[in-house]
Amino acid sequence: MRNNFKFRISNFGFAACAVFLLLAAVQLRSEVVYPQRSEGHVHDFAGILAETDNKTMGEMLKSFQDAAGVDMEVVTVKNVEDYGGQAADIDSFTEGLSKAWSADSQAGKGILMIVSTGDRRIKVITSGAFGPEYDDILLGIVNGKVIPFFKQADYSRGIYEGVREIIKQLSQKKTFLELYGGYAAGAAAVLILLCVIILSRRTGQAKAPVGDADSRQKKPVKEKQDAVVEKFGGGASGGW
Amino acid sequence: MADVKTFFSTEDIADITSAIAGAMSRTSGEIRLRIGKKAGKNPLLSARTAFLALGMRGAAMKNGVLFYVWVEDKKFAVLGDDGIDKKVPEGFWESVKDVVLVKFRQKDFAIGLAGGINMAAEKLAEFFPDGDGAEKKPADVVSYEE
Repeated sequence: MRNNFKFRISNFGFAACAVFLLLAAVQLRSEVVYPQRSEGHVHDFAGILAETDNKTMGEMLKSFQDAAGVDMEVVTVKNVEDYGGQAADIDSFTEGLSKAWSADSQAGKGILMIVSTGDRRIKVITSGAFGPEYDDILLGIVNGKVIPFFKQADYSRGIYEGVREIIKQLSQKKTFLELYGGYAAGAAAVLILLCVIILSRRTGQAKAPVGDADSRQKKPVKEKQDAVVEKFGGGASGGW
Repeated sequence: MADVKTFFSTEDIADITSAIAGAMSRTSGEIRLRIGKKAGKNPLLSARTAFLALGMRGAAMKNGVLFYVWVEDKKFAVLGDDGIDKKVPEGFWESVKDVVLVKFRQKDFAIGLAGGINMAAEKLAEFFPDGDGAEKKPADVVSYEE
């Protein structure tokens, strides 16, 4: 009877330990272990980025931070579940990673882009310094520039194009005047152009047949001048 | 008014020349910088004209890259010949331009150009590594409009 009691106690102890270990395991599993932030702005944990894309984006994002003060981080993972957590999804993972990483970064303008290839999801979030109007801009960029390449399984190109477009649009979009000044200037230019067309037509009609014949001859001459230098290669230009 | 010859300091030109020389040691392609006053209405057309005038179109593998800075109207262009243009991904030249102009807006002209030159050099070294063509290295990698 006594031995049996001992056996029961040790049996109970074993069961308690097992339950404790099981609960601990469940607890551990429910805590997300976020990846360590590495150097630079591009963190390719999924290993999907082409080396040149990775390097170019790193340089672009560094210049972007220097020029515009925006800290944009690009993160790729294979599956968010790999980092633990119950019912892990990219939304909660992104929010959690943002909090985990912002602890050792300066507060201010921040953008976090996370791509999970296994979940087939992309998530882009911004810090509070950005207004809600940026959500539409970023959504438009993701749908227009990133997703088309993702559908072809070209993740590297999609992320590259998306990052490039975000830098481009956010570099331009700074103030209300810059946002809408272009439209105002465009509308003014269209109005001026219309006035010029109307005036030139009236002038042309006053000069009658000679003017018409001249204008028909002048256009091909201009095109010929531009065509003296053949188009070759590719390039880009802009002003500062 | 910005002057063509003095827009970049002597040190800047030395750094840029060094960056180009370093880049060209890894590739059969060539990189040049031209500095002018005004780009005109079509900077890329002006760059193409200079590309031809400098004889860069003569490279057998069509792998020359020209950086052009116009100091008076503050314009910049980068132009790659057919050989390199066909190899680089779409939007590459735009991204080079973006990297350069971000620094130009901060008045870091030499750093901006060096960044763009390095990007072009990476692609040239990747697609045209030294030894796969006997291209002649130009004597004057930096030239000025008269």
